[in-house]
Amino acid sequence: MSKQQTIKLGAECTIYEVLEKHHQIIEQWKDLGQSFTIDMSSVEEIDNSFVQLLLSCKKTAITNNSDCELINIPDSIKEYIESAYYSDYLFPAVEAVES
Amino acid sequence: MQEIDENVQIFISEAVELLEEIENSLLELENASDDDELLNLVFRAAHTIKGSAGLFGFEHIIEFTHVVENTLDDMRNCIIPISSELITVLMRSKDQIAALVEALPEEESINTEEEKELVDLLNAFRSGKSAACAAESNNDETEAEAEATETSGENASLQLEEVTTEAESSDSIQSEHYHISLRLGVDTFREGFIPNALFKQLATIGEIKSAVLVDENMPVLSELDPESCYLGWEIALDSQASKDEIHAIFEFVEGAQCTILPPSSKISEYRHLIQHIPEDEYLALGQILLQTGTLTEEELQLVLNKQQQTQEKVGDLLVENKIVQSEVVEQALEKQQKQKVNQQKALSFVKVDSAKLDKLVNLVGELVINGAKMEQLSDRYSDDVLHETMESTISTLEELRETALALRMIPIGATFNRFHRVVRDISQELEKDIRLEIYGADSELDKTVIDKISDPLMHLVRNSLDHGIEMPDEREQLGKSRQGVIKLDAHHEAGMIVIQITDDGAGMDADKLVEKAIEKGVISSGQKLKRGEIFNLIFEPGFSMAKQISNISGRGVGMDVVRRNIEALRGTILITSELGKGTTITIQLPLTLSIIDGFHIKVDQEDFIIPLDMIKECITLNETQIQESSMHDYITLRGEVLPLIELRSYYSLSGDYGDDSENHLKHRENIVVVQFGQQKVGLVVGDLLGEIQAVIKPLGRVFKGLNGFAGFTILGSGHIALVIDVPGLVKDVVTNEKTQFDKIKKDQIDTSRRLLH
Amino acid sequence: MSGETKVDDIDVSSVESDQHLTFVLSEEEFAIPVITIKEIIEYGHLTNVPMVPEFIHGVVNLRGNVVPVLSLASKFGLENKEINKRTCIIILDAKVEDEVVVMGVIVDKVLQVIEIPEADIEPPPSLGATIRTDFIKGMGKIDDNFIVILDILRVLSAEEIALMSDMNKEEV
Repeated sequence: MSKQQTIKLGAECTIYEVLEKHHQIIEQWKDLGQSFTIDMSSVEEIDNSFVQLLLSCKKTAITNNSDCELINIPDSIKEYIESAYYSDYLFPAVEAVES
Repeated sequence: MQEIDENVQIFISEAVELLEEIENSLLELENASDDDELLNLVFRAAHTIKGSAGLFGFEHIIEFTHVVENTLDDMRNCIIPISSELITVLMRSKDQIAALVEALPEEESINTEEEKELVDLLNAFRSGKSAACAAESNNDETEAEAEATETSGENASLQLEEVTTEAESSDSIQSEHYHISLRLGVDTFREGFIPNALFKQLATIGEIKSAVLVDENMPVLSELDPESCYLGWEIALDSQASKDEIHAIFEFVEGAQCTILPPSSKISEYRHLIQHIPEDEYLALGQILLQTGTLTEEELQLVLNKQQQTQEKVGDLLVENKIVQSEVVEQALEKQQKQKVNQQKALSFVKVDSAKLDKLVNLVGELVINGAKMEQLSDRYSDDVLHETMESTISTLEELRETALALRMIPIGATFNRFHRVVRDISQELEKDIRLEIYGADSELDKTVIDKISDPLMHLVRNSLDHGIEMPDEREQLGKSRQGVIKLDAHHEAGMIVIQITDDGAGMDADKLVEKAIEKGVISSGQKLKRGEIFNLIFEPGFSMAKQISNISGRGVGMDVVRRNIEALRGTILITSELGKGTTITIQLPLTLSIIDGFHIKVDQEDFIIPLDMIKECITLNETQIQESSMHDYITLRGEVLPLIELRSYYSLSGDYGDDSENHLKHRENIVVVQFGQQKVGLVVGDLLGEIQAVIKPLGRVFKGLNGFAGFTILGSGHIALVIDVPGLVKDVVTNEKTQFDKIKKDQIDTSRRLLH
Repeated sequence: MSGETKVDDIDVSSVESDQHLTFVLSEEEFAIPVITIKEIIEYGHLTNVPMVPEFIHGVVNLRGNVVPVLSLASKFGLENKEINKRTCIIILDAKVEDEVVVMGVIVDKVLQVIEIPEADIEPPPSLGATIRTDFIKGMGKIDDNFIVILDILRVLSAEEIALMSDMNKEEV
């Protein structure tokens, strides 16, 4: 297996950081055919633009027949994601990790 | 998460406007207590304030406005009579809301005493419901709901009836909840808006059965602009709220598109929804129907499986299997087609008075002129920084000009779509079966051009309907389908727009046309025409296929008028036809009328501009050609005879141009070869001064009758130059030639006659 | 330009209806009501428009607008004087049908703004005028001399313009 592609997000995940993280993810996720992991353990705050970035990651994965996994999602963040009904789109990935 | 103040600001300013509206309407209402529209206005305004306050969580405003709204709602349902006492209390309530709004963003308790009193008063009015209405008050909410989708002119019993009707028809599609299609605007995030708040808000008025994120618009990472918003949801909401109330929740979401479909909707409403799915999404038919709740996933899966077996179209299968009504499928298919064609983003629009746009374009035009002037001036100085600045200014101006012009650009689709009705009506009248197909509806061109092209297009389409397409029986005999097809197609080609009208009708008989033309004296019998030229004879004045004149196209306006209109727009029109197969008319038009790329020439001391797109080449004559040109009014260029127009004499610029042969020859050195249609003509000019961008100013009232010129333009020097109308000029020359030719022939005949005698 | 009335000296912005501008055309004096005048400019670069009647001198660029300039002398059948530094173009709002059209007329020399009270204006003579009587609004009395007050809007009216278009067609 090739070297694991992963990124760990910081505490603040809002529109102020989204541009920078977008670039970082693109840089880190070189082989789109291989799955990508996003570690969310440190995330304290998230907003919709950032969730959208995650959604786009997910879509990118689907398009390339790979996977994008979100791991270690704090409950408060999960709640936020659920509150705008992003979960159906994002959480299958989460479940895969948890099981 | 902190809200961005700007949004609160928008809320405040809108609330202030709405409150003003409430006040004015209340005042009017006092004098016209039976005006339901006024009452609706007040209700909606209060409702909107409450709804949007909810987005920001201004609990206090919501709470108080809610009481006011309830009172208004009771008034609408004629549960409480309108009295001036009530109006007074409502006015005071309005003031209280205004005070609360004013205090924002801090949500303070202001005038607590007043507010308490108002709430008590309002509730007192509500509990003192008039006896007459009391019986219906149990149905309060159903009524409100029914009424909200309608204008409230009807009385209560009518509304109840309607509820029953809807319930009866609901068995066609079972959908017991509201269906909301939401697409957020691209700037949603930048404006600091939080979609979660919407869901929270929706949850307060009903139960969100499901919400599905729509990712159709979402780009993959490499194409993502992370600050733009691509989100959208399909939401099923179980709620007793009225459509108005739901709508109010979305009212403040800038740039969002939102379609709300009430429960138990009729087919027609689903069709409507399909029509209104944002066009920038391309969705497979199944997905559209799935999203709108018309289909369940299982049903779709079933159909898809079948499709794989039979290779049939999904739409047909859906109908065959009685899963979806055929109208709905048709609508969805049509939508799908539209989405394919029309991929342009429908984001947010601002309505602007077109006169303002014209002014802007004019000013930009002036700026372009001044820019050119300044560039000329800057050439006097050898200052690198100056030149650099000048260069960037010019390129910015260029961009500005393009942007300004683009503002006037509108898609031709609306013009095209009007023909659906025309085709339908006329084919019925003629008892023909004709289908209209439209392509390239999103091709954009200048509004002025669109306005002016509409009539000629109408004429041409009518012509195709009338003369082009045959009767169904006739078509069948010819082995064609009974249904004829007219296609309207628009596309851009080399800076022009090309509009084509194609029919699969009878086509034109070239031989008959020639016969006719000779009979009408349009051409002489000996004249040999190329095939392309023959069909274009129908654009000659006095040429009409009189045999077939009917009240559809034979309205006294000939094809020559059509051509003249097109040429007035600096366009060309060409016709090709194949007997028995059909006819295609091709119109080429410039995208805009106001600015052209021109070629600056001088004739004597006068400046002229020749539109660049009419110019084939510029040539400097060699000795032989000069000799030749001084002998005749033509030269031989690469084996072809090129007629010449000496602009100096043509425009009578200086009184004597006769015997000064040296000068005469000198002026024949430069020739600009222009082409219009098939005809090439050499314009003999003075100096060639190069390309220039010219803002065309119309000839105006005084020079309206002046032939041969398209307008004026102001040069960088501030001088005015005339813009030459090449088609006009060329035609003039052709006519002259013909007269000359005829004269020579006549002379010859006369001479031979004399010799005979 | 010392001692002469310069274009700038004549303020046409605030005027009373009695005020008239007098000017010279082929050595004859004429007057027009100041109220009809938009502005007066010095004779500048005119662009010839080919194939139009002689009395249309051309067009001039007035701050980005193309303004047709007519020669009153030609229109009246008077001799066109040579252009000199006192030649002016009077810019007026003419009315062609219902459209307001800005036009200019060339005059040899602008004289002054004078007051001619209504009472001092007599009807045009039926005979003996150098120009068509329907172009004359009245005869203004200044001291003991009479001056022709032009009905300038009539001169620049629709019929005159239409006439021009007709001539135009004949020429082409």
